Amino acid sequence: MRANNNINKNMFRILRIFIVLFLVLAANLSYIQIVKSDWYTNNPLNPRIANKENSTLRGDILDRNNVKIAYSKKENQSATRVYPYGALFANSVGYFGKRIGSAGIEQTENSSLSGVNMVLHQLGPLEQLFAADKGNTIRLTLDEKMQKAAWDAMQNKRGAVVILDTNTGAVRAMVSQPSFDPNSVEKDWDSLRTDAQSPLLNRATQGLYPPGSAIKPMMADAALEQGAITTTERVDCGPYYDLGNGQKIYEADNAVYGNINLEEGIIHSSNVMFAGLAVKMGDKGLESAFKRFGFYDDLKTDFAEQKAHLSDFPNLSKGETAQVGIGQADLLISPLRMAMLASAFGNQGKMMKPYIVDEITSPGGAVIQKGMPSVFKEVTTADRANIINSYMENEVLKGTGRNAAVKGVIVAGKTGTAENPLGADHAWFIGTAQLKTEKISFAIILENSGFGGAEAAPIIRNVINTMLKED
Amino acid sequence: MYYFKKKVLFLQAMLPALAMLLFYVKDGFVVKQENVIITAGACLILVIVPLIAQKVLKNIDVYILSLVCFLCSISLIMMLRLRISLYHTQFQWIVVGMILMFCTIVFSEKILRFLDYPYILGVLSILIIGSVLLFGTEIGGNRNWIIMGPVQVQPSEFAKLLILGFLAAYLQENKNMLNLPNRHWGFLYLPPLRFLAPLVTIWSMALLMFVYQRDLGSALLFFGMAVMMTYAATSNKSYVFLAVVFFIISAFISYLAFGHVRVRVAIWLNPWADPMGQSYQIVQSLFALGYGGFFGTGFWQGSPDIIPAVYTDFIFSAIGEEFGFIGVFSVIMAYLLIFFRSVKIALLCQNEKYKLLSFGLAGTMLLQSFIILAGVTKLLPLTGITLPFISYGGSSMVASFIGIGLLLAISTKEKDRAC
Repeated sequence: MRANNNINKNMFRILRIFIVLFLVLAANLSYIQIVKSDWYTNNPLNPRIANKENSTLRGDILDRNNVKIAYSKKENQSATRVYPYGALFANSVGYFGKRIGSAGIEQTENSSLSGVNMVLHQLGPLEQLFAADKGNTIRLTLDEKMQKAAWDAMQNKRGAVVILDTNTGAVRAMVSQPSFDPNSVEKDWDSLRTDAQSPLLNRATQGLYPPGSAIKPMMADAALEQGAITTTERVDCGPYYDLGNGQKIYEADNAVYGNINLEEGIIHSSNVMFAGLAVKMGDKGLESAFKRFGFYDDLKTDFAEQKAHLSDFPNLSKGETAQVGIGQADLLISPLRMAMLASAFGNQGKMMKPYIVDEITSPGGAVIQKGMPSVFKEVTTADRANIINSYMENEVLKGTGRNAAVKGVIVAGKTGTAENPLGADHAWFIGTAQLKTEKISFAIILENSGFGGAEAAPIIRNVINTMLKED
Repeated sequence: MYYFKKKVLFLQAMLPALAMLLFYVKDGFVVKQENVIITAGACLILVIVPLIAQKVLKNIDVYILSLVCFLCSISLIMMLRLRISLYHTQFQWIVVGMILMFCTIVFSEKILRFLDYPYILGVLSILIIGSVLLFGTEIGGNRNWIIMGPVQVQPSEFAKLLILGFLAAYLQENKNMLNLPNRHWGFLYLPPLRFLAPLVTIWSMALLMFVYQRDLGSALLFFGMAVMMTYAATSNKSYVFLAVVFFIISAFISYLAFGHVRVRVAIWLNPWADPMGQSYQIVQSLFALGYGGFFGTGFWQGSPDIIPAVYTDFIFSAIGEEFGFIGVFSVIMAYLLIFFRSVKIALLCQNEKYKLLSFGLAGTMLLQSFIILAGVTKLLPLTGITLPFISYGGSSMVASFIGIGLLLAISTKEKDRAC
């Protein structure tokens, strides 16, 4: 009997050990299945998400007028992604590759398009109630006609065009050239990846360029705000601005404008005047202007962008400060940000946040998400914005931007001719234009192609003319 | 209480029917007659076997049988979901297992009489394991199969039962001898070597199985079984200490001597070094469990078929993917509850041999579950053994049912006597 008791006692001891072992097991399981669940689920080596995406038909991508830009076609067992417009939307909408991953909207909106929703996944089996055999449809703010007009106007030159709706920030066109055919991107991958012309780069949002004279509207606003000049004050602009150490800044074509006011400075794009204003405002003044115009802030919108590279304020030499005033030094800004800059002057000083996704609808037709216009930053006062905008209108009427003028359409613009270490100057043109249905803001850059007024300004004229004919 | 018990029984038995319904919904209602018959049969036996057992055999522990039926129903629906042909055969094995379980109960008087001749049991188990060592064929990386015509048997599953019988009988008869402290080194108290010989033989056999057949799982199980039973019978911690030392030394030597052991340890320590190669299986198992999360993806909504050997060793990961933490936790609880009820049977036993045998049967089943569950969750190095009542496989299913039959037989016997 005593021995029996011993055995019973020993059994209880062993039972306790088992309980501890299984507690450890349960703890480890809850670590794997609860704490690390997301990590295991999203691990690129875990084929489950990809399997699930392959089992549903990817959703369509439409332009603002419901024109199909991308859709999936089921053949036999596998689906192929079709881009009817080829290279036209390649850099903005992107591509969807099984082997090479995806880019553009195809990447940023992947979870919507694939119909695989990680929030629903958390619900466990209940997910099945909401699951569909097709991904969501995404309607973009892009306008196929405007995109096409901008693409054609560029005539295959390297560069980018960004067109925004001034009052809402909706992106109407986003063209980058050279481009590629997203239908065959997987096949052409190796040559595209190593191409020195970088066709895979979306120059409109990711390309960074010295802004050159296109930055002058912002400088004019800063100079007025900081009292470096008034609207009536006249400045003597001699043949050059002397930096004091033997270096001089000349006007573009060695012109001499003499005694001019701020408006004439913009119209003629006077380097001497803006170099002088920049030095007068100083590093701190310039830095505060760039801060005010949002160049230091993240965009936090529904597509990817490359933030500007700004000078090392406030440690610039006098020469560098003067160069910043005419958009040189080491400033590098994307065409998107330049279009946003122009939009602020055409919208009473309010810079709208650009967005590209207009609406996401489920296969059943329910609206899941709606793009809402929002103010990114109030960069200047309505008064000053209107003053600068009127200067830019006059630049198109009688200044360097004459090539952008269209009869019966109010166009405001600013040219830029940016020196760069890679060859001939980049041609810039930024501004706003009042079309029949909406007011657009734009930024155009053509790489290494010369004067902004001669090369970039005609592009927006062509776009406006095409859009007028369409209406 | 009885009413509740019946309800639970009914619900678990309906699992195959629900699964089959889902199968037809997914497949567009292409009904196959044989599938329907098997499903109806499965539902029927899962309800009726516990009820009949309760009616016919007085004082049977119906909780254990119900929990076993629960595990079987999980097994069936997972087979249905993973591969329909295995659903058919697994059903057959469950039926065979249940029949053999009843036979064991009916003929328990004669079977349990073998406990009086421990050396017959010992020699038999050595013969079986020896024959595997000599004639074993490798299937799925383990050389522990015997192929006899169309039948493939994993004899170690049955040898397990014989060794348990031997251990229970031998230890009960010799426990006083084994506790004779006639020799001691330091704090170790050990009997003369001849009393230790049978235990050392079992340990050596386990080691041999491991080295020669690469069957780390069974080796670990046999080893743990012997240690557990010896300690329960003798209360002598010296054996446990000795076993652990023996284990560490042999593990260390085999690590140095054998490449495949080093590979296993390397996979365990860092599966991410070669996730698409050598550690593919364990990494995919972790992915399945992690993807399942707390609630699981829902039945038939995951992709457990990616894991190699998901029907046998990795069935638990498939359950974890589709039923989530909730699902695997209930499976774990079922094993623990079966163990607790079995320990209760052992506690009530007056006959010490029966006491040790029933505890050994229960402990071995739990230890086996732990070894494989710890393996697929990367708590321990991965070992290829089956999950009792759930993994696909005839030998495992039949041997587990015979084990449960012995347990239930002992429980009725002891209770009858007490009444």
